Amino acid sequence: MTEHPDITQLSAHLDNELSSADMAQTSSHLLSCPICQRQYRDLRELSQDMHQLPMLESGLDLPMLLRQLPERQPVARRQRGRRALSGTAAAASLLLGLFIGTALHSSVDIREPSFAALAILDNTPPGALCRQPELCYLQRSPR
Amino acid sequence: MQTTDGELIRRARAGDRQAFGELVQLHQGRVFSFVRRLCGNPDNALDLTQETFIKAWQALPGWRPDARFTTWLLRIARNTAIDALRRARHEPDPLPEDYLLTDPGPTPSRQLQNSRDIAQLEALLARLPLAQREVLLLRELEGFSYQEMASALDISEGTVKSRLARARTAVLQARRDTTGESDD
Ligand SMILES: [Zn+2]
Repeated sequence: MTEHPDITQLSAHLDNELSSADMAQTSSHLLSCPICQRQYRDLRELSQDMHQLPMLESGLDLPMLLRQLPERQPVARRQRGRRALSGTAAAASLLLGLFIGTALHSSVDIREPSFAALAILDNTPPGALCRQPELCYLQRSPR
Repeated sequence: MQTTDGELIRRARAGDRQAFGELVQLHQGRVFSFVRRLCGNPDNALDLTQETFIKAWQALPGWRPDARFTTWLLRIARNTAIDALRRARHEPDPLPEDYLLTDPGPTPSRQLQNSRDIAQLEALLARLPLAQREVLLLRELEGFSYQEMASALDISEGTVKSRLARARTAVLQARRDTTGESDD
């Protein structure tokens, strides 16, 4: 039997995020090692349990949110200053501008790599992800 | 869903607020749930959800279809929440047992016994260090790949891999400690 894969390998195997050679090696080990089978089964059960966590109700006030959406103007308006705005509105705009500035510069990097190959994940319910059926039927060992 | 999203995004990018409103309706539960679990406090989570969508509205002209819209949106949500946590240095509050439940998702092969089990799992998640909690949520609830997480969190895929394994190990261990189950 090969050396036990560590928990990081098992976790990445569960996510199908190992190289194909590592996937094959880990799968082969798993099929013959009850110790790793148990660890793997625990990881898989945790994953299944997490898929059952419900979506939470937001209680978002949509009409109000839509009213709050700022005008979207690509040209910077900073030079126009605060004169035309009342005190409260000016402060709110400034704060919003800071948030948006942060989002645009640090949070939203549009140069993301392509994830087209992962589109399949969108159409598959999480609980149904099982690329290696033989490992889905590992039996719960008696405790 | 994909087509609808695509058409709504196209219209919202062009400035159609109604289309953006439909996008908000489609995605608000997911954004709120993620932010709520990430940062704890439900009032903060609602504010952060609103803030996320306002930022998304502003940034939408820069969105490119080479990233999933939800990936892009959750990245904004995550950064908004992290910024707020940093500002407040606020440790998350665990979810109460009677928080509102909605769609339980597809029928899984293994069922948590009851709402108490779900609340227990929520509480264990809330106790994880933030960096571990976010990778676990993004992976398990949002289906992010390691590459998507690495990009969203600005860390390497190797870090994603090890952080996720640590998060899972920590939850499993905490669960054993809670139930008194032995580790061997
Ligand atoms: Zn082994």
